[in-house]
Amino acid sequence: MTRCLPVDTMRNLMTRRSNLIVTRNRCIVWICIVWIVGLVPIVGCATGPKTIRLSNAFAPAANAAVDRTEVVGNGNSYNLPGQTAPVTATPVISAQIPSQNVIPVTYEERFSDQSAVQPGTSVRVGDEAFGDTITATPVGLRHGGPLRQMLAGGPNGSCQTPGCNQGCLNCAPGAFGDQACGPAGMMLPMIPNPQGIDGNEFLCNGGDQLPKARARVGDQIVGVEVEDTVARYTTVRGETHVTPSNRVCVYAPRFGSVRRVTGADIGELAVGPHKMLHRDTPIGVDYDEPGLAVTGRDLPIRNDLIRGPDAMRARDRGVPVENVLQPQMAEDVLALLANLSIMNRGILIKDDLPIIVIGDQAATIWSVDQEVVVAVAGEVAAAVTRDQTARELVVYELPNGRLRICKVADRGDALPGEIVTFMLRVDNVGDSPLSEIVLTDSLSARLQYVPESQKNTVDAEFSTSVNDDNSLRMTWKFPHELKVGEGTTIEFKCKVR
Amino acid sequence: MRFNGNAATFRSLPLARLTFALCALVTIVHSTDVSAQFPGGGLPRPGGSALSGAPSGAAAGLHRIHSADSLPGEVGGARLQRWGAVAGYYQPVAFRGPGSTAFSLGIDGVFQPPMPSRTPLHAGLLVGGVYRFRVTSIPGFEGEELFPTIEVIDRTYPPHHLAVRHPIPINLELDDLRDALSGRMVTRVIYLEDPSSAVPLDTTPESGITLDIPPYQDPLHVADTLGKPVAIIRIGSVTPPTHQSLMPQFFFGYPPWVRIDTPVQDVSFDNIPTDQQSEFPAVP
Repeated sequence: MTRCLPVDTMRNLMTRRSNLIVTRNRCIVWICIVWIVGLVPIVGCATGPKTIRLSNAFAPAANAAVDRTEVVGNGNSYNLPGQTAPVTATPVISAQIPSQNVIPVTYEERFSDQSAVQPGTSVRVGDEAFGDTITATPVGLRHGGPLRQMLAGGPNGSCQTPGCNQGCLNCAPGAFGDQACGPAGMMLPMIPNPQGIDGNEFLCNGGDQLPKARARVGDQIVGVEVEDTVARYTTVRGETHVTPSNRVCVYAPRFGSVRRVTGADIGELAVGPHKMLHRDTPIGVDYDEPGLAVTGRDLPIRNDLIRGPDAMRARDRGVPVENVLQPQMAEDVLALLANLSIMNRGILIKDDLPIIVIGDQAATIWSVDQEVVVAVAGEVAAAVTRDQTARELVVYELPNGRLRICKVADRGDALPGEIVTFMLRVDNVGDSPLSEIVLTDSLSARLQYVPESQKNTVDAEFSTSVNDDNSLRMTWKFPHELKVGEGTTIEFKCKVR
Repeated sequence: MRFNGNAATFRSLPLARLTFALCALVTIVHSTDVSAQFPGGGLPRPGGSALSGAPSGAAAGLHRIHSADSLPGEVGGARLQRWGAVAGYYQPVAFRGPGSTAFSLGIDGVFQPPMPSRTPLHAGLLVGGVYRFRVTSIPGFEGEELFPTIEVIDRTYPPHHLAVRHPIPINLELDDLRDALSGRMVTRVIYLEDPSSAVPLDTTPESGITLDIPPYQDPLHVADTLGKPVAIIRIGSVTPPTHQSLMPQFFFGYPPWVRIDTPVQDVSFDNIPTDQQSEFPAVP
């Protein structure tokens, strides 16, 4: 039996159904848009800056690097031990490579499909595919290259200045709200290779690793870890600050090998006494233990501990003067509350209401942290509610100083044994002179300072000491003030171990 | 009027489906990108993770599945099953030996003429592949040959243009060759050193740091505590098989490789032509 509905009712039902479907689809679309919008920043953070280019000055030279390659093998396909998928070998290639030494032919770093490697074709390695990543070329620190120009761009240079923009690749807010000069040279890139990154292949220096460096009495800086580059300074207001430099990373992977000999005469060959010495020496435990036992770092801590009980005793002596009244007040309050009808008999009477209201407010007040209670004798307690905040805050700033440290390297990669030149630019970017400036740079174990290679443009007392990694910690003490807008440049060389 | 609603439905459904597909694509790209960002376990970490897959593979109490005594190809094959863009990647390696030692890789079961003396053999080897190479002209052992194998079990992630300049160095010492010629088995595991625990010793690309371990220790495990193992070299074979049917097994399936004829480019400032150096004026 068919139930007939009026035409208008059918029309309305159809329209409502269509509207519901459309509304549902629109909701799905909006949910997905919100989803994408939420994911885009995450993706952006994960991928990081993909364009980190130092200088294109020598990019053509590097692009013209000759990588003559050919794929060799045979046309058979076999299963490698331990592999589930067979490896398709490529037939022998009779490479037709001219005898010239400079041929702009490279090979691809990664083939998505091995079978795509065709015989007789030269293949390419990482060129345009990764062209938006780092260009590891020298940028001419010596002879007035771009780095030197950038560092000499002016003491007032900031990330907004053209001079700094060339080298400071990451302008991030500084500790004082200014634009700190970000990493130059080669910063450890988020994605130097689209296929990934392994931090173990980079040699980094600069910045301030945990624990953070702190200034101590005199011109000492504690908490300077290996690879740290920090400076302490004193402002005209007498404040002492510690500021780090940016972090510079150089691609310099180093490989080692572990060797084991097995066989008939294995015992005599492998277990030699000199073999064990190789392992113990680099660990260098003996170097650290005496220092920890002798240094006086623990003394202040002990003083603090001793000072603690003294402080408590002094506080106890002072408190009773004010606390004399408090127990009496508490007793009075308790006595008053104890006489309430609701407390004694569980019956609420009208006469007790004002007192109960006071107690209720007090309970509310004491249950909220940091409430201010003002009690006037005989009056209702007044509470400052949480929504009452300061409407205006006026801070009168005295002239303060800021120190900015830019650190750069003259090359983006280095092989063991090669020399890397670092340059530090120290600028007073504040509005008052700075004094007692001490700059320190603790080199990592793989960086060996080249003796007498440091140069600076102003007078500074240079000294070195051995750090925890058996490398050097270099320190520059500037005897003179650094006036507003003034800067200095320090340059030194390190050999990559 | 009736078709208005249906028309609206048909207009909206493809858009909804397209949006869903876009969402799924974004999700996949995001997950792929994150996994590609940490191919070697991420940023500097204590110890390697080539065996464990965990960011800190050198943690105490770690049960390692593989060892250097595994069959050739087993460790590298297992690496291919895990994360990262390693499958199909030709990892540059450089063979060097003492004095006039010469190296050559095989093509179709035939070893190529060795490189001239003191010229390292540069080649791109597949991660997971096992390659047989020949060592000749050994100082003090002229006329004798060795046929070691190299198994690339992981890769490096160099920035732009630096893959060939920073190959994995395969530096064989005279002791390795002498021991192998005297009938012993020498196993070398090459690892990428962890810079946070680097040994402060001067090295060059030709002379790396070698750690000798007793026979009861596993070099792969020791290398995993020092960094990221990237290659295993097994030196012990002195003669190839005589029967032709055994050659594929001897060459481990003839995996393809890439020959890199170009010497390593030195991009230091001193090697840049003088006319290009003059492009940068001196700072006043």
